[in-house]
Amino acid sequence: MSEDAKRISRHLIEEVYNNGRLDLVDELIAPGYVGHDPSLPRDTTGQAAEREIAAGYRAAFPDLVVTIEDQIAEGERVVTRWTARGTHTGDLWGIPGTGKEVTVTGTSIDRIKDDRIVESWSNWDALGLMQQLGVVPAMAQA
Amino acid sequence: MFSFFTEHEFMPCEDCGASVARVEREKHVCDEKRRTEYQLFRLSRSEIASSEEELGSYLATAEGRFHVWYAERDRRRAA
Repeated sequence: MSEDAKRISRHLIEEVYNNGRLDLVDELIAPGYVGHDPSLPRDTTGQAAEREIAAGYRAAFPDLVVTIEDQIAEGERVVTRWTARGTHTGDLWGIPGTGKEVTVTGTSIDRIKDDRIVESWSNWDALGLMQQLGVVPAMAQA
Repeated sequence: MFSFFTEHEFMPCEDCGASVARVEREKHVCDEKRRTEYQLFRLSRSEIASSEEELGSYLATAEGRFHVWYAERDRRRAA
């Protein structure tokens, strides 16, 4: 189960987020899916919402590449530590494209059931993203 | 409000926009193609916005209105 679960989580990142295969969302995400991400205004519920999230990130960062740095699975849960890199050329949450390349890290836990992701918990460096886009000022290094 | 946050480990290069790690910042050399694309991207965004405004203002002047009329006249003659 653990290796199959890893494969599903990996497939979502590599095919949907990296290659833009939004048509695979229904295959990888369960209809009753719930995604928890404190950087988003609300939970992501259902396949269409997850597709919309992925499409939004890909529109903002068309060359988006998420690299899996580490993956640990136990039972029906998969923990993935990832690094995302992309060039901000499209609108993101109302921020028009800046042309800046950004690097962001995060960790996601997926719960897998019947070969699809039914629930996810993600924590990623949204503040770092805002700093890199120039939206949040940073104190100069000492 | 957020000024107490230190600079991120990765920051985009101001000249080329590439994501550069803090430890590599001093030895970073911009890729020329990337720098050109980045500068054009930033330029086009602000220039397009300002040129549209300038054009609109110009076309509202007497000279601008005349040029619109003149161009329309040429277009009709050519047709």
